[in-house]
Amino acid sequence: MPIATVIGRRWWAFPLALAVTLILMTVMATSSARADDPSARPAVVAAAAMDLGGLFLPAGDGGDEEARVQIAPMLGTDIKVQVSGLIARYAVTHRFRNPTARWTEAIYTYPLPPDSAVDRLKMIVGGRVTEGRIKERAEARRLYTAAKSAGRRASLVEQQRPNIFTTAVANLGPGEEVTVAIEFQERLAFRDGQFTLRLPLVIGPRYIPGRAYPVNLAGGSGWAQDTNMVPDASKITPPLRAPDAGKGNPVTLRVAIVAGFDIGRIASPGHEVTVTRPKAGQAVVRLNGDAVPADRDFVLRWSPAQAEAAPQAGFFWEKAGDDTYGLLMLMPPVSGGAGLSLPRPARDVTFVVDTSGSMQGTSLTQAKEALVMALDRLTLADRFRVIRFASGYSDLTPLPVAADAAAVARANAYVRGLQAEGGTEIANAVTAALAGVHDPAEDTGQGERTRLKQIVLITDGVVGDEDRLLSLINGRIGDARLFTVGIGSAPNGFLMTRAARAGRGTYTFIPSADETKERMAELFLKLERPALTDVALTWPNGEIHTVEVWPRLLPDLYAGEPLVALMKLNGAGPEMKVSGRLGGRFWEQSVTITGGAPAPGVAGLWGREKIRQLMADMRRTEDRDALRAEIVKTALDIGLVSKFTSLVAVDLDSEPARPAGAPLAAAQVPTNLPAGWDRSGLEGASDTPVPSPMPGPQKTMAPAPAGHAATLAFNRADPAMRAHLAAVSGMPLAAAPQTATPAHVYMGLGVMFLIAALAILALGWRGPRRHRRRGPEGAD
Amino acid sequence: MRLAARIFPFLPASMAPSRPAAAVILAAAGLGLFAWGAYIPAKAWAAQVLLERAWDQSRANRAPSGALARPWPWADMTPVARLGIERLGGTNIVLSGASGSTLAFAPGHVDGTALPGQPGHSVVSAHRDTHFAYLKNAEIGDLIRVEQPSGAKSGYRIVERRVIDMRSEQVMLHPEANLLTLITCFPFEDWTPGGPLRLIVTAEKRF
Repeated sequence: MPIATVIGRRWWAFPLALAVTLILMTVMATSSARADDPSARPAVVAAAAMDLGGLFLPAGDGGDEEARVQIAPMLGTDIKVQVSGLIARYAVTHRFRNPTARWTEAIYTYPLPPDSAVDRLKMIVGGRVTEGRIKERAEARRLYTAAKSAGRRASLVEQQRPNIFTTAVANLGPGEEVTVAIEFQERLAFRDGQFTLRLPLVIGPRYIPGRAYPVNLAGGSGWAQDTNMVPDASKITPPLRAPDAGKGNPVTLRVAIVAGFDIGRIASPGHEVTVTRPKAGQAVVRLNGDAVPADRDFVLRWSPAQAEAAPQAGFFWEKAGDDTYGLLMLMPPVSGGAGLSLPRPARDVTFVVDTSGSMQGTSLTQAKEALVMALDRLTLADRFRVIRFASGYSDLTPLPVAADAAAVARANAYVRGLQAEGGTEIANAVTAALAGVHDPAEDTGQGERTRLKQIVLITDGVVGDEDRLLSLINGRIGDARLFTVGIGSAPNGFLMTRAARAGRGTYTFIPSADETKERMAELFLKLERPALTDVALTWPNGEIHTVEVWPRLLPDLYAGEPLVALMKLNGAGPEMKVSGRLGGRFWEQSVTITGGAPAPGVAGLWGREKIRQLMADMRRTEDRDALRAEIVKTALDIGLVSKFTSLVAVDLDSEPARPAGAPLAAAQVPTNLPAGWDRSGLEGASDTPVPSPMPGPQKTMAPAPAGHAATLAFNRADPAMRAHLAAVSGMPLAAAPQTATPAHVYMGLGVMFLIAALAILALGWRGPRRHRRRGPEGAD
Repeated sequence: MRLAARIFPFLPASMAPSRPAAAVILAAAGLGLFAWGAYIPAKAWAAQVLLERAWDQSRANRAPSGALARPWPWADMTPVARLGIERLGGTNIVLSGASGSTLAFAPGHVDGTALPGQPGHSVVSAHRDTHFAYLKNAEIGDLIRVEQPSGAKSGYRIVERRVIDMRSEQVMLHPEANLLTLITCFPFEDWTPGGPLRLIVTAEKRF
């Protein structure tokens, strides 16, 4: 039978082979689909789990409840600091370890000094070093995300605040360790007779004011939700370690100092240190113990052995390309001798003290002590007022009153009775303080104009709306002066220093209780003595037009403070003049900068200072694009991380580390609660219930009034909002199901099979002739 | 024979089918696969027709809320809402539960989230190539109309449209806000299912 010949004796072989092929193809298609299929992953939802500081990660498929609980990436930090005169160069090495059984993207949000110029990133995996490159922020993130998706090793360093940075490391394999090293420099100043190095090691949980957005617009994954006042709250609120997990994130630290003078006292108020002195003028400081938790600022102070040896002036320069950059530090002699002989001006002082939940514990005790000392310093010529604030504010008197014995005694009793609880709404209290000192009714008396109007803000400053506060101070300071007193083990150095700058006053930090007296004494000198104002730097031959000096306007100098200026010389001569006014008298000094010491890093510091000034300008203007462009250009030219530029390292030379299809989980490194913080001060302070996706301390929660979404107005015409919306990402909450059908695959395969059948038939039409020719032999 | 040998080199020549047989079997398999594939959108479309009819019938009969006529005799899922984007026309009946079997017939309401139209954050997902194909053209500002089984009508204005990578990001829930989030796979042109990207369209309740 011809038909028998056609089908063949093994007629089932072809369908079998076809079926096997089909099954294989299907299995391959679905298995590759399954690997990327998030619906196969259990969603980790519980807000309670998030409260444990992101210790819980979505675990792999299946498994019992125990197996789902895994530990977040672990971190060890090593810091090496080299101090040469006025410049400190830091190398901060973060070792990330992934103890989980999953591929992980580790994210660590950490503090740095507010004026640090981060210029280098190195990622080290198993001895292999990848150098980071400076890119515009969006471009850097794009490169990083592409590498992350491709399974490559990559690292990204972004600036969230001048003192808050985030390092992300992609594709950390199960059990693997990756080292990310950053380097930066900071300028130190000889201030109040000593050098102080202040290196924050932990971010105090920020208070986030404002109304929560329904989605995290900034794309962070912190414990706070973005709000209208802090649109990037999710990026500055790293999760906290669980209360029962103890302290973590161990730090080792070594500071080598080449002071340029014989070093006298060296002390760290918050840490146990070992000091060795290899030579005169040099010292090496190490942290005692090798697992000191990152839970407070590291502060180191050193001063000259003889007061006469104190530096009076210093000039450091660096040649970078064709340009020469200079750093000038000068102690105006007036701030000591001549300043002290001037009469003490009468003052109106408004003390504004933070009694929010974050101050509970040692901070409030310190603040009270400082305040009582300050009240004690007032004279009968002075007037004063005390305002306390937390979620709201209240005051002892609505306007400054004469500092007579009765008033001071009343104020003392008021201060001693203060309790810490609630939010940190600084803006309203500062507004009230400024309104009080500017009260026109108070300005009519004789001689009133010569009174100094001072506001002393005593706080830890741990809020997320720094820009808003700085704008407010800029706009309303008038002829008043704002002095900040940073309290506690981890104050917000950025807010404290910049608020003082915006308020044309100065700042003081009191890191521990045993330093309160010393630091307050320094502050009293600044408050009670006239400041050097209208400080200017001039070149005799009009070369000021060629020299680029930052800051643009030099700040007023208070007792014990040096003039610090950074300049790009552009060929200007070595002669310059510093001038100013002190208590109504003109003062001038000539400076010759011939010689000076070459110092690597001055160019970076110049760039950082320029960026700081331009960022401050951005708060005062609506035309931000030009400033932004200039900041980007400066940062890219010098190679600095800024708000708009990031460092990104991608290992392009080796094969992707993560196998295609292996899922990647993102996890944050949880941080310690700062030393001296009382957890109870953070909890239960808010009377609004916590919405479930917002874990973390309640104290810092933005109030979320019921039905607030109804009044949320997203303005689609607002480009800033649109840009935010474009950049958002989510927090782990719901798993989205698989939402595409294989219809196209099946239909496509079907069409291919039909085409194949047609092709075979087309060939087959010529086949039968050959069949017939061979027929006789074939048909037995 | 040589062609068959080339396709199936692992088979001995005696086992290889002849050309016409191969063609017939391939054609049959091809037609079968095509029909299998075409059945998916056909089922999705037909189910919606039946669901819409049942929904309208229930409304016409003024049935008490929730008690809907069964769209087909053996249907075991509950319609929870009728939903559509005004500018783009057309509506879909949303069924409870976002499992694979539900999504074959209709958009699925994700269990544990608020019901569409009710206070809270509601999440609905559907296939990008069937019921939510129109999301490709959804824009910020578009009005999503939602009808509940009770007949209550509400409107949501789209405030956000973004794509997330499910390997590193997840969808956020905000039970304290009145939101509706529609989720579907992305990109719409992708040939095979199972990609890591999702289109997330979030709308805020206006009435």
